[in-house]
Amino acid sequence: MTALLFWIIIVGGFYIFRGGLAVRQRPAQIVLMLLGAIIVVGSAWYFGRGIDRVSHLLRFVLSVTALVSAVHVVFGQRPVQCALSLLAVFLSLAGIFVAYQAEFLGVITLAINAGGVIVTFLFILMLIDLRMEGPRPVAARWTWGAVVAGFLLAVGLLAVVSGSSGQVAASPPPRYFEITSRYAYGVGEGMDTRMGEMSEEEARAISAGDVHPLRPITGFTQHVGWELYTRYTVPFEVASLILTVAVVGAVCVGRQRASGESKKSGTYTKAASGTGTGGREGDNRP
Amino acid sequence: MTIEPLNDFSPQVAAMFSVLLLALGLIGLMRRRNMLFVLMSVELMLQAPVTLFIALSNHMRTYNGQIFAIFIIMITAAQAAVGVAIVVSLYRHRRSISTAHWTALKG
Repeated sequence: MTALLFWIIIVGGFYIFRGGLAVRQRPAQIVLMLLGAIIVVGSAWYFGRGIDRVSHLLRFVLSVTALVSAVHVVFGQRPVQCALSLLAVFLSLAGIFVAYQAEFLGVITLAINAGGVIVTFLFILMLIDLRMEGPRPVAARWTWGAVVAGFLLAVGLLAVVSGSSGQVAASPPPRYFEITSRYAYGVGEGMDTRMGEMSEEEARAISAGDVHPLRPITGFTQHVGWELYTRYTVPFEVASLILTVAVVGAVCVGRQRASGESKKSGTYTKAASGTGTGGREGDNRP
Repeated sequence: MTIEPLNDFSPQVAAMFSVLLLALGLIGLMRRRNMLFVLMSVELMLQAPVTLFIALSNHMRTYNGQIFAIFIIMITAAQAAVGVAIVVSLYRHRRSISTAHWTALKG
């Protein structure tokens, strides 16, 4: 609940500051910007007293950035600015993933979402003339209804989240990760020294099949790859099939057809390409 | 309600973050008329479970959450490709991607 209050106050303070930048009158501008800055800095100082570790601080700061950018994606007016705010959301999420020790997820978020999806959106924004959308291009509808629906969704899910207090935190970590993470994060201990002094329960875990003895030790990406290609091979292949279907479907849907006479032009190209066998039809063509 | 300092980024905090992200995406999905913005909001909503999966994966010390997050990101890429292709083909038909001009798709 404290975190929720923190996020709401920080995001609100940022938008008060930003609203101050847009105000015409100079005194109101100064007052609004000062108010927003005081709210942001003061609440960050007040709530952040207990944050001592760098990764916690990084997660809070980056999630605040992601929420601010997400608010701008939802309520912004200009398309390119909204797309760039979505890029900011993806960059913040990549940072959050790295802070959660999911480096591979951070990298593929950068590569796929920030690299591919945003570029696709910007490309489409370039192709489509948004001025032809009418007098109000991104006119909103049902804004209050949407806000109420989002509020209800948030309240319901937050009730579920706060209702399960401590149950997730109480679950003990599985054994095999503990061992492998000790392999991975043993400070100053390489695999050679660790393998020499393998304890009895680690040897039992290896013999029971929970830990592969040749599991690589450095970094979490290799663990993820190991899981992905051993235990989750079939879902991975099915996902690649889905990607193939998506690519083929996107090409088929987005292909530029010659309007009205696609069939005729198709027979023409077929006859023209098959000159060896269909030379007679080619001669009959006027 | 007691206001305590934020001393730990517990999974409940991560869950609050992803719930806020999901609610923001829903608001954008409902209030936008432009189909491109609708796609952006769907992208925003799809990032919420990814964040939650990764946070819980880190908390519970398994890699299964990261694997599922990889699958969700794959689906996100496929959805972006197909959605953008559909938007382009709709734009070719009627020179508009406003949802108000495509009420015929309601069925």
